[in-house]
Amino acid sequence: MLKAEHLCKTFSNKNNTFKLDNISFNLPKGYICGLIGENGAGKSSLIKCLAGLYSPDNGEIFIENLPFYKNEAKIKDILGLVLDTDYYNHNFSLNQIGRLYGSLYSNFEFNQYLSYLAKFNLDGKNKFKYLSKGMKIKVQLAFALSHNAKLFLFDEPAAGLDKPSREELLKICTGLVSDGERSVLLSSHITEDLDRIADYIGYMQNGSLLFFITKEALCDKFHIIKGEKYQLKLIPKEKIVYMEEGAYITSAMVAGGKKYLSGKKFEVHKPCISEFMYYFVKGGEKNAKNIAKNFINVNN
Amino acid sequence: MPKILQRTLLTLITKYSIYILLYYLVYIITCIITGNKHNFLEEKDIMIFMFIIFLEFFDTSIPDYIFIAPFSKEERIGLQKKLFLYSHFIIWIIISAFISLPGLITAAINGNLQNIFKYIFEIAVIYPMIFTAGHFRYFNMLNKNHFTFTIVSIDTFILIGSSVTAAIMMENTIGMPDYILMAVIGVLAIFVSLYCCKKHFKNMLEFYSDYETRTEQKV
Repeated sequence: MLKAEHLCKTFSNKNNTFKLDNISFNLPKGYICGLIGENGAGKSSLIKCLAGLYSPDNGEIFIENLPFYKNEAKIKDILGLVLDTDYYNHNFSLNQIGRLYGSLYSNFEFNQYLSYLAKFNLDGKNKFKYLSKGMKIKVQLAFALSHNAKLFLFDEPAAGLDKPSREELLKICTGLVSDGERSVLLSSHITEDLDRIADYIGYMQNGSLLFFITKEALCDKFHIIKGEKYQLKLIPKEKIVYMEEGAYITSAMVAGGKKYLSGKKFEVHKPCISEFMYYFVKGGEKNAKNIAKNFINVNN
Repeated sequence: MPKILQRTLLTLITKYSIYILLYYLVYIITCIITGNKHNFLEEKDIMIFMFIIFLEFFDTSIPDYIFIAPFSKEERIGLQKKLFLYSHFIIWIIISAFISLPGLITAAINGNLQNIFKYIFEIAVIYPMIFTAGHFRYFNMLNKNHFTFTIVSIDTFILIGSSVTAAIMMENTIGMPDYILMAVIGVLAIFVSLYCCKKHFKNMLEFYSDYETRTEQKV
């Protein structure tokens, strides 16, 4: 469904330069991918590249096996977008947004758009500029869901949403891919949500995609170990993502199998995405790169 | 033309018309307060100068949503071209109808050939000036911290050309020096507009049709 090959893009302004560096991944049809990483890791920039707002310096994007830039109009017709910036005219009412922007798409269904607005408790007569941040995201979401898109790119859709709306969003995402014909790529800092719905996890760090792997495979490759400090010190250093020393108990996230744990009294469990992200970020950029290279991308 | 672009065009023109109206009202009120003995209806041509300069700050770029809507880059350029040309053409019609046409009609009724010529000249010369002034927002975005000699020259011509045109229009009778000035302004107006058209118009359309250049992200 969505394939990126060696995507490179340099952004530059007076003060700094940022680079999306050689990003490659393949998201099959019918799956949800969670894009995680620290602030400024390049998640939004990558999504904007995939949405065609930024053109890459190198590399190619394929959507439904079609090269993006040769089929830009056709591909954009099947993209459902929720971005960090809202691109609607702020003076339009929600009904006007549906009518005027919807007419640009070949398969836009106005009634479906209205039903999503109603589902999100939004009044079509309200002007876009008077909505809160969360409500604006809901409008983008309602619009993206109403033109029969095949690929959904959501940039921080849960940011600003209340708990019930977040639950609704998760339900919608799982519903979207249930027919196996559509895919969702979403970036989020709310990793608990990704734990529940994501099939793939992409981890971004400083403009690089360190890995893109199924959630199960990722969690199988790591363990969170809790025990006494002297015991944890016996684990080979190169396998430790990050070790957090407490007053009584020390915990660490460790890569690789469990064989070196045998015979020792450890409390071991598989990490969830939020734990995974915490230890990966805490371990530092260099260590994360090495761990990804030696333990995650080995068989990929 | 998509509905959203028609709407954008309508909004642009409405905004511009409101500004024109407000300027004109302020001018009339100022004339009344200061006890200007001249007939402000006869002095309205001076407003052309203001309206053309005002165009230099007027944004005629396609709405942001067009960048994520299903259009290819070529289609976006086509939409940008339509928006630019249509909006400036309509502004020309508005300015002509608002300022030049009443004078032209009066001159035609009175059979004053000199005035008929003056107003036809005014209508003809403001279109290339409007077209050129429409490029200035792009020039400013492109050369944020410095102005090239060419851009300063064109801007100076627009300033002087439009004000001299306005001054000629306010004269009751025009002589040979005025005709020479009109000829010079006419030739220069055509020259600068052709220069902008050949040298910058295509680049400007591409600039406005690219999200990165619009948002200054391009290296």
